[in-house]
Amino acid sequence: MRPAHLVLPAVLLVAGLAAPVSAQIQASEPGSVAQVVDGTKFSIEYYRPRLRGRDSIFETQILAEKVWTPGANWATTFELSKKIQLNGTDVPAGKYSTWFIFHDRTWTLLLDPRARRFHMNRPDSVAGQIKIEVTPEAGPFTDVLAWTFPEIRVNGGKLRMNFATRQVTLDYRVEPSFEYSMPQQAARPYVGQYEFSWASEPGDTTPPKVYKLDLQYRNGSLKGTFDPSPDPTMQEVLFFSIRPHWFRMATLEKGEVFDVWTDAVFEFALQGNRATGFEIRGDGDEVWGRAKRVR
Amino acid sequence: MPQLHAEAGTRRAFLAGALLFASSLVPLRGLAAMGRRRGGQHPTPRPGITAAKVLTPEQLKDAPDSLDVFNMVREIPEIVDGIRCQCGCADIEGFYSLLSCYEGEGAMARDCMICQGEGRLAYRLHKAGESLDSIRAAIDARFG
Repeated sequence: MRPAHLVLPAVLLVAGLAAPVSAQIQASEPGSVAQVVDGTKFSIEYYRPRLRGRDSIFETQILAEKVWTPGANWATTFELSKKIQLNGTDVPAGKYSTWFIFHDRTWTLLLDPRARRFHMNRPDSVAGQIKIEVTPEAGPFTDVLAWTFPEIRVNGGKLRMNFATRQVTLDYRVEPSFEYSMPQQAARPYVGQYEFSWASEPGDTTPPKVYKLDLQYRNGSLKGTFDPSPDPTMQEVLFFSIRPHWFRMATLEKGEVFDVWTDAVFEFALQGNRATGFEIRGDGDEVWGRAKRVR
Repeated sequence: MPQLHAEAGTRRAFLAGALLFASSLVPLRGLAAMGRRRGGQHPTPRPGITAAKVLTPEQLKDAPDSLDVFNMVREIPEIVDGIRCQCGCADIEGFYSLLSCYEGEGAMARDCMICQGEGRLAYRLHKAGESLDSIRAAIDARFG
């Protein structure tokens, strides 16, 4: 018969692992962080170890493990709603347990499709694993292991892990929802100058203010400049097609798409192969504004 | 010209506010509308479908701003019945098509700007002579 003093801790251990979000105080409390970029959700769930005075924990303990999940208890997981590129490597949608394999100067980030895995159950080699080389850096002293998304771009962002004085930063790119480029021939009917004004509110007899919009084909897409410029974020805009003669508008910053107006559509009217003007319509199909072509 | 951004922002903020207000009026169905769902097959219009269940002006006295689009939909039930609503309500039990959004006591189009926008767009394009397939493609491009 197995001694009771051995069985009880084992039962408690299993019970604790089976219910990771139970009412209990843990040395490494669970945490999570998620970021959505252009419809792709990147979620991280992990247990957050604390240094508790062990400032040299990498040198004295973690690096010696050779393979380590950047967290504690159950392996840290990455979950992706759509496929992404992580440091240039394709990663399909799904949920992965996450590990670092230590080398002398670089580390390998290992994503394992077996997402639910205890931290001591280090992964063997199986199909579907993804390996990405990363370079650890010196980082600000961090007492509680932290995963953050310190940078967001229109097409991705940066993901960072900090613990003690180590830091690993990963760059990720999402699949774009929209096609911003168009052939020059397809853009030609719309290239020209327009006078635009917002629709007046009912009962407002004030003459509407007129804005000039110059649409040109540049660098593979239909770009517009307002005169005068509305503000720094709208110095340059981009129109991209969603249906014949229908466009959405994106604002640009340093030549890159910054914000897409998904609640409005620009409907151009054509005579022959030449646009004569457009209407901006909102989600309720109401007219927000109109433009006529002047050149 | 600084007003351009400000005006646009005002309009967008107004729309966002209108959606929130609508969702507060219809807490159960409105929640579904907060996140749009892409894709999904458009339904086949049911043979002999009519606008008999579409809310009447008398039933819309407390929602006068939506009266126009209910009148539009009442004219073209055979078209609207062939469109899948993209506001998120299409998965609700009992829903068949965009026409469902305009029917019965809980008609979502009373308050949902997306249901209303799809109805107005379908009506406008139908009057312009566009086919059901073309209208479906426009709804998907605009709201999908």
